[in-house]
Amino acid sequence: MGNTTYLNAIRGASSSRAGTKTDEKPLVRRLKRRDEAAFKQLVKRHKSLVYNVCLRMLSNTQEAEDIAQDVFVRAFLSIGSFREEARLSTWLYRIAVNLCKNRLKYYARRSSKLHSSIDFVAEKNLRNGCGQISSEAVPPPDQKLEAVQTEKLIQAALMSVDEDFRKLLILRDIEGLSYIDIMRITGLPEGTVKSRLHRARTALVRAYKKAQSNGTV
Amino acid sequence: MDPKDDADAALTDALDSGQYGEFVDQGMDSGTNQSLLEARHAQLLLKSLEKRPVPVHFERRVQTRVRRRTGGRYYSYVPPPIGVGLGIDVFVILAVVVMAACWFMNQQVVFEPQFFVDPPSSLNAPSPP
Repeated sequence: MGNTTYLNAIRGASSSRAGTKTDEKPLVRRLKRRDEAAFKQLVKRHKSLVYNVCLRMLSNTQEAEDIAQDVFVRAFLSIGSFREEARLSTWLYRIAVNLCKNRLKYYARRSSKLHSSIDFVAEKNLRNGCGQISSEAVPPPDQKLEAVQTEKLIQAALMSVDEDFRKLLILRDIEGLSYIDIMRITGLPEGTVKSRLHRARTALVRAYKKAQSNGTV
Repeated sequence: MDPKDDADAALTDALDSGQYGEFVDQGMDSGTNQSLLEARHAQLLLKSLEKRPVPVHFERRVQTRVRRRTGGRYYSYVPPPIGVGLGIDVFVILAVVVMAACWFMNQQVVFEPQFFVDPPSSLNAPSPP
């Protein structure tokens, strides 16, 4: 049996999850009325995803915070144009990705490289995902160091792949978005998203292995 | 779609289905096999990344930025201008009614001349002949 048969066979097994709109309508209504409490709620609910996408796209904490703040400002100012066809989070992702791309273009035009400045050591393994100090046993220093080193290599590999590839890797493999959401964010058809995603993954692993063998971060 | 693109998309489907292991061992050529394993490796690497905590004063800074960008007017209550909630047809009908009412009122007010001449007092009045 050839590759095509296998590949076609597994096609049916995986299907895209449809983007389900949660009970966001009252919040959107309040946002459109410029209710300050609603805006606070929006920021509180989505700040982590927006900030983390920006951080992985730019690999710089200051720039990521700046862009993430800008994402919310843009969202506030253009909430009137939000058509409620997608979820608020999808809309915010799209703004975030576009602003990050613009920032990267800006640096490319100025021929200056965005300096990578993620503090890998601070807070690593001390905080859990919600930003709370973990009460669990702290891993031994050598394990912690290894984890930090691996993350550095992954981030370096992520930054070395093409921007369009990076965007897909972040949305799908880090943020775990559905293909429907990724299609809405990128404006690409499903087949293109999937084929590019595969190339992006192989490119990332090669970059990661290269960085590992060079010992460069 | 290009056959290569189609094949790459199918490999992504294979990873998503979680059945890639079965296909790696079976009749795939070594190049496709290798490609699938690399993609799986990348997926695992990226999934191992932890979410970073958001800077402490993020929310406050966003609020400040919104206020600064909008001159502090964004959240404040802005009374809707007259006529915003009113359709043009309702507005026209109201205007006609008001104008008609004014016209009627104008028609009903009749100014009659009033003479305030005091009648002569009985003392000073000349006696009747």
